[in-house]
Amino acid sequence: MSTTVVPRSTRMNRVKRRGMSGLMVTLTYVAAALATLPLLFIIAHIVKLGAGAISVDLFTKMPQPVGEAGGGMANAISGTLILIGIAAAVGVPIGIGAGLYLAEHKRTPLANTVRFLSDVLNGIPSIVMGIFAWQLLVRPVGHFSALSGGVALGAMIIPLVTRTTEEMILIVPNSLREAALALGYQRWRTSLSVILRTAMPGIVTGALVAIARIAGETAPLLFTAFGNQFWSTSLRQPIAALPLQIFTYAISPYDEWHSLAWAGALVLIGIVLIISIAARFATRSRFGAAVD
Amino acid sequence: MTEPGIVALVGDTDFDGRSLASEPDAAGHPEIAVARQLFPNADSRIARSGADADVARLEATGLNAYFGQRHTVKDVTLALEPRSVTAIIGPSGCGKSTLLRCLNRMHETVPGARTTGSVTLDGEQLYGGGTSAIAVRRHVGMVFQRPTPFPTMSIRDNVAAGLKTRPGTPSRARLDEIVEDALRRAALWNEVKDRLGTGAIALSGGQQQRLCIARALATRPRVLLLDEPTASLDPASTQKIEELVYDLRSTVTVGIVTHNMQQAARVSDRTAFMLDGELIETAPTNTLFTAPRDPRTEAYITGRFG
Repeated sequence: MSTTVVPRSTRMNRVKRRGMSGLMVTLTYVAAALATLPLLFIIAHIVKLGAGAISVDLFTKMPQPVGEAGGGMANAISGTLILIGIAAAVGVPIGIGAGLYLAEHKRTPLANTVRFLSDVLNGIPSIVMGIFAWQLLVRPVGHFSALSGGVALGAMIIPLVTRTTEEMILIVPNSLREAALALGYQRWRTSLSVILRTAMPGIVTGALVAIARIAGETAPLLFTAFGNQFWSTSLRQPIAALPLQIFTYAISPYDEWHSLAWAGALVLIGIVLIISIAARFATRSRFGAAVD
Repeated sequence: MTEPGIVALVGDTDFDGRSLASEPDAAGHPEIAVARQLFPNADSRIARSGADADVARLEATGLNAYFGQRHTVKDVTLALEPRSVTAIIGPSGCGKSTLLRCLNRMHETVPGARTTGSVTLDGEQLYGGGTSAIAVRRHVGMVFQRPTPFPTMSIRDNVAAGLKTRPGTPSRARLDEIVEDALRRAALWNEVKDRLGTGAIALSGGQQQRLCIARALATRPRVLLLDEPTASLDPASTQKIEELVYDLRSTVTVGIVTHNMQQAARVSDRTAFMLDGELIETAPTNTLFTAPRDPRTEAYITGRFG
């Protein structure tokens, strides 16, 4: 047997291939870094400007008039949490129900229509959602309310939860549905206690991501929740919200309000971060394995 | 029309352990106790056949199955005899799985699928006559090609899953008994008894399949249908399942679809050969493999096609 002689051209090709590969790998690293850079930059900037104004007072005290020292955003923080709660209570059940319907009736004309309209709803500008909620819940009663703001945010959650629910249910293997039917499960029980239950970690994650998305929405709240300088937890009264408070403070001419706006932004990011981390944990199902 | 026997089937659902245990003559004979549960109105049947009461004869007559326009099972007449394992063999796509799925009304769960002809369980019509598919499936259990444990449930909950869909949930202690009994019958108890609360998906493929068999057995079906139960398993797991199927015949009527002829020969008492949707020949397994009547059967078992 003679030893294999590698032709010169092949050796050259190998050098070229390795060079190209190295270049591409480097480019993907750069792209990955660029993708995370804006977030890191935003967080760094907000921490730099907002951390100084973070104090216990921020979470426990009410806003003070201009010129008075101290004061906090307790009403805005609690208001945002209340609004998120209403939005979740309105949007998540409807979204899960609609998603279950779409997954169970994949190709019927009604399902196709619902799916299309849900995507359209997802694309509707958030301020339009605010107008919708204003027309529905503010104009008839004649005053702004927490409820209307929560409904506006909830309407934004619906298409997001619908879509993730449908997708999560569709990746549950059909063999599980058959296994349940073969055990004598009724169809509705198969859907609820096997299919939906198996898809639940993914659905919860989707719902939390949707809630994190709307937590910082400002536009839908402008003429629904409206904002409130005073403490209120009533659903029928105008309510403060962090994004509105940040907006009010940020466009004011006062330095102490500016730093409060940065602190509020930091708190808002913190809330979103906590929800996102909760979403990561929810993805782990009870027995430590994902669907499929 | 209403069949009295079917009414009893639908109304079987009271699995109350305490009343079971309190019946003195049923204490040593769980089969009788269960049969009595299954057929509250059928004392004469139990008196006649004793412990055999939950071993049943499933018979298909002139059975046809369709997927839309496609005719996949053609005029099949076949009986699954009590106290025996009946194997259905044939080349891929011959309709053997579809035939099996007609026997517990799973065929009709596929959109566009329909069935004609009759299937009876101990003389009771499974199709028509107001019988619900749900009731049929509670008496004719099924295990599929790939293991299908419910991933959100523990081993214990998987085995008990079929019982929880019926009215009259058994007591916790009775449920534990049923779970243990089913796992023992499925030859899985010793491997999982110390971790019944852990997730079922942590089990190996072969264990998962035996878990599915236990889950099907826990509801005390009168007939167990196995659709290529070892197709996705390694040889060692396959052997365990085969031994299990062989042992099950004494307590439940078994129908098994396989494209592995050696498997059919090993586990079954009777074998049916299907080709292009038609049932070519049914005979005692020994006879079918040594002296088939039909030349097509002979061609298949000698490996000339399929």
